[in-house]
Amino acid sequence: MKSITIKKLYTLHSWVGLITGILLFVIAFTGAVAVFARPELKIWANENLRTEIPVQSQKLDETIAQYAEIVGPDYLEEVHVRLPSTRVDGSARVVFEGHFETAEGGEEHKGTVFQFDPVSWELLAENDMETFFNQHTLDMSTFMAHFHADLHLGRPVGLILTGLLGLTLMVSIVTGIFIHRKILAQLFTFRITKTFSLMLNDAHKLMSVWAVLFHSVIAFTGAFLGLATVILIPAAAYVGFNGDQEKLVETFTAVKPPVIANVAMPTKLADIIDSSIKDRPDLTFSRFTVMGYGDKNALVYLSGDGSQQLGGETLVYRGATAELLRTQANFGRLEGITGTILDAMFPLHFGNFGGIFVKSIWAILGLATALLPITGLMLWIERGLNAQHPAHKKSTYENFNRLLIGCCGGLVLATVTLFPAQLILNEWMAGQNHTDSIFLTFFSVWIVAILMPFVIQQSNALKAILLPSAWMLILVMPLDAILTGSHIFNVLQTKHYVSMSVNLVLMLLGILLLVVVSKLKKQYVNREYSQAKNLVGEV
Amino acid sequence: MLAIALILVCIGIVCLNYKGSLAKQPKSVLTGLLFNLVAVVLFCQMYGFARGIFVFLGAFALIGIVVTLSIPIIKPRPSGAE
Repeated sequence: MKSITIKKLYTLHSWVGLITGILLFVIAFTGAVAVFARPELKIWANENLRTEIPVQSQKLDETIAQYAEIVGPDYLEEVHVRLPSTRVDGSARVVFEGHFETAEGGEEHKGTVFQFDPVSWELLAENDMETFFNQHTLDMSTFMAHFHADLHLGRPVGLILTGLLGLTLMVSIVTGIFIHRKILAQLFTFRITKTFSLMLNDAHKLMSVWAVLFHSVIAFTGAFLGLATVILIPAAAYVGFNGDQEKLVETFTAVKPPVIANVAMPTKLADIIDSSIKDRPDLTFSRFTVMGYGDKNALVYLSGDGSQQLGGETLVYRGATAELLRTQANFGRLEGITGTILDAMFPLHFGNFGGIFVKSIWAILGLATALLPITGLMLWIERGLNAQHPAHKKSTYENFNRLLIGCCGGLVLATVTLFPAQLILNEWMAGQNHTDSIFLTFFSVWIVAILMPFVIQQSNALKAILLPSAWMLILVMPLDAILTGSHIFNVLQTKHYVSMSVNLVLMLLGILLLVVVSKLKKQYVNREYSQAKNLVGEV
Repeated sequence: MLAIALILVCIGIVCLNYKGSLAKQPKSVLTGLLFNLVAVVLFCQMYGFARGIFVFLGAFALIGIVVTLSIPIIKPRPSGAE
């Protein structure tokens, strides 16, 4: 490739990184945390989920039958149930939904959402569908997951922004591959004893080259998940379904309504759940949908994860007889490879297709994705500050460095603050909605951290951000023990294995961060010493 | 089996390294590729074909980064060497 073209690609790579770098860090870092949002952090954040929850198929069957009578036959066309045993939600959720004709001749979906205690199946709340899906009850785990998905900017702005960031990451990857001409020659090169700039350069290259396929998968799936619901589906519906998005989704997704016989026959939910668990131990069932509940032709779609298919599997049963009709993927109705690819998008993005081992790999590599723009930007600042004829003023590089420390370090601090904040909120505001407090804690800490490097010295600001982060991570476990009584010495009695593992990992991360801070301090002192020595030599 | 697969990936990556570059000797390259190929087969055996491939790619990337980062700590280069 001509050197002039490579120079143009280098300019494009630099500008894309400069414009989107900090945002890309925000998305990638929150993504690395969001990998564990469900169920690990959800379990940690909710005391009532910490102990394993039995399936209780009989209790579930009876409860649905009882509430089906209350809502009436018009709302039994679709019954959606989220099983509490997977512990991905603070409550067991049952939605009774009916389709009604509007005055204009269209179709309207209306329904009631019941929320139950996941263990006792006691009714906690009842809302109509519109109210339920518009209310936001977030704990720190869902806060992080939503922040990663749309930066809490809502639809469509947030989703489009994150989708576009996926596209810009793809641009950076492609341009990076072309401009980095010694990919194989420098595959194992990491020089830490030479200059800081060289170390940053090597770190940037090794993290991008080794994980290039991972970064590409994350960028592509991220762009797809961000843009699919706000651009791709409306566009496809406009082209093929006269703009009817619901019809498009119904056509391509696996849950299809049966032909209602209008003959009442009980739907054998308990039998279906029990036989599924017995016959498919490889699957963890998270939710099911009954189409035409209580009818002779009712169909039950039971969805589970964990089989050899990337996107999980749906078992389809005849509701009245509990007979297994078929198993299918979520987009199993699409012909060829399209369905398989669409099914793979979500698990490939979040790494939830191979248990905690794959999730851990995805989280660590996600942190590498987050560090790419940081090392790139640091390299740009370092080169600018050390250049004899820099492209911009020295103050521009210094201010950019301050912004980088504040935004990126501040995000880490704000995320870490959510852990003790959640424990304190659970204790002091038990049973109340914590959403506003979580928002307030996170954004106030982040804003203060962003402003800090502009007020105090950069090295002190970095220390003031990283040290509290490390100590808060370490102190989560003792705080949890004090506030909830759940600690490592009674874990065999409480069986809080997941939450205790989270506490242990946080403590290890805290200790690791303390080590990094002490190394940074030493490096900073060494750099200042060598700079002073050079200055004396020049004089 | 998971531990064996991870060790194979690790050995395979170390075989591919020659003084900070990708090894040029066919013997080292083939050995490295062979170890990784066996690891792919083991991952596919554990997770199924599609999942196994992606688990391998993730593990390969992570171990590659860790090995490269640890080379200067285990074998520091003499100062002045490029």
